[in-house]
Amino acid sequence: MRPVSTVVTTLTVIAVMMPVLVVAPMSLTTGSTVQFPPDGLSLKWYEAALTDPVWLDRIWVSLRVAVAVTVLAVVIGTMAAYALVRFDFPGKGLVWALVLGPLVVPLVVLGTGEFFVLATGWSLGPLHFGGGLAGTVPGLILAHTVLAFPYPTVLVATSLRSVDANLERAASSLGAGPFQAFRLVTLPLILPGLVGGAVFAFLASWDEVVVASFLTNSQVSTVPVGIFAGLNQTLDPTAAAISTLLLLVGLAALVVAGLAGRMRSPSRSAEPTTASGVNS
Amino acid sequence: MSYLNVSSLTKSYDGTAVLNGVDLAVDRGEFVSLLGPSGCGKTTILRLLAGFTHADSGHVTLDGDRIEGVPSHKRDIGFVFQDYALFPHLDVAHNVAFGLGRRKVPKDESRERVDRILEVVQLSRFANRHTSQLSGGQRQRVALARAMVVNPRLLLLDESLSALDKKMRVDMQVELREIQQTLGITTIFVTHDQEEAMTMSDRIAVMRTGQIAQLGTPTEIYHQPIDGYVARSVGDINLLDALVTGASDRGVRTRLSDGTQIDSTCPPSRWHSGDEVTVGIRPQDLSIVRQKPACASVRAEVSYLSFAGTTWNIGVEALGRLLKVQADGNGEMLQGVSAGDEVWLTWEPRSVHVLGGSA
Repeated sequence: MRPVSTVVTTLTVIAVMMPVLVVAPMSLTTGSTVQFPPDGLSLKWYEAALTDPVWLDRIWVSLRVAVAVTVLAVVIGTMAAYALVRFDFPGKGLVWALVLGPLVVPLVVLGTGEFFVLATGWSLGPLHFGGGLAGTVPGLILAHTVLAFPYPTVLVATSLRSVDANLERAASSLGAGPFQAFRLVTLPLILPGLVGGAVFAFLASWDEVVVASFLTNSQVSTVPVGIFAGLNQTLDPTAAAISTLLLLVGLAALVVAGLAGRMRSPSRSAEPTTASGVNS
Repeated sequence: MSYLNVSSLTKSYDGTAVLNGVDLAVDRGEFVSLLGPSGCGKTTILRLLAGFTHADSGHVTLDGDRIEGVPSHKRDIGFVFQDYALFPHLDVAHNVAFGLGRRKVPKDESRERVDRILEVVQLSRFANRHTSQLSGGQRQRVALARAMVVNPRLLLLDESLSALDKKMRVDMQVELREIQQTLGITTIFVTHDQEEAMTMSDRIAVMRTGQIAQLGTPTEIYHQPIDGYVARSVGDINLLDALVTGASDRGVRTRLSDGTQIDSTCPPSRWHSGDEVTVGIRPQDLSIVRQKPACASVRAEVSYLSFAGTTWNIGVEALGRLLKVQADGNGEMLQGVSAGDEVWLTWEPRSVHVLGGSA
């Protein structure tokens, strides 16, 4: 039984890792076509990618979008999670369904919808929403925030459920207003969930290709959309180099999430938060 | 006007009344317990006083100020939770300093006050410990220190000792009372433990279904309960339905349904002939004898005996029901008595309580 399961496990890991194991070496080739095994070893395609103004532009767009999406998604998600966990209100189940909606609705459907709202907008009597945002950074930010904010909402809600509401009442009875109680007591305790949510929100935008391809054009485009377009047209190792860079950023984000998970043990998170708890 | 005045406070949740007009006046520095079973509304009163929830109607004044509309963080009222609610991300000293920080107390003074209160609760050695590394009793004292270090206008304790084991609880009762008296903090303590309420309080408010049934000193409540409910809530008592057949300055004569006459010389005497009352005798006021005595007595059959160290707890079948008797653990009274024996039950008329309401 044991050797069989070992073999199955090994094959599964290889199957999952294969694309990664192939792309990274391919990006190091000295040749001018994407091939495996690579023809020699060099960093010339990385150099090519990072000096090409078109790729640099896409990296800059992707980065701005992903960072803005992370901030918006974490703020909106934390507020939504707080309301959903701490308060009872009519229609709570419906709000939860709406929060989880972007995770369930097919990306193509979402992308089509976002395209019409952001590109042409829609009118309701004298009110007009959206329009003119296709091919812009704000348009991408709005579209990706919709995709990303369920992650911080769910993760913060989970953290928040484990924080006794009496802690906030205790803070209040000691003279802390609602915002202070949140900042000094609740926030430090939900920080692991919040950082995890931020990482997933960042990644949701950073490697998103479907919705982005609806909203990008030749002037404003993101890295994943560029790679996708590149693979269709030419088999240029630059795409492999950029893919590997994309992967490294993603791995770095997961390391951050892993470290955030460790903050749960109180002795580690104690020092920085205690200082702010007393001085402010 | 007392220091704390609560008048006609009402509160209901989802149409169910939790408080039906509570009136309570507490003097400065006093320790008052709210005693009652769960669901009687005692914790709701505390939460209303703290500002965690709001009353449907009624007024609360503290030191002359109306506080019912004031948000909890501006009330200056300390609260100690049943599970302590210590901040898990802060160490002991920072937990205690939290309220001082909110009041913008300068750092040096804050450190001094934290040191002083930790000395009072005997936790100086643990200032830099994490709250997860403390025992239940230590956590309780941190919670107490955190609430008291800011000198709140009022201290509210919600079943704050019930999570401790029995021995620790008894130690903490004494300790808490001492600290409270040293600092002179007006305190309201919610508990369902009669012993705890009796040992610690200046006065006890016995609560029943959203109202205060009786408010008085522990001895008043114990010796002069107004009805069977109050009498039972501060100790074991045998209750029997009776009819008043005669009343004078010296006492009350009552008759049980089976014709047995029971006289009481226990004050107060507010009864008249024909009143339906409840006669109460505490287990330790009943005695068992072998021979029919000259004074008041009834036939009884012993149904069980159990030894509890300082006392014997005995059940006897008498007057058509099971009565509880408590005897001295070292006493001679029970020499040779065993279950099934026919004995006589006797009592002193001055230990017979005549109470309102039915048993």
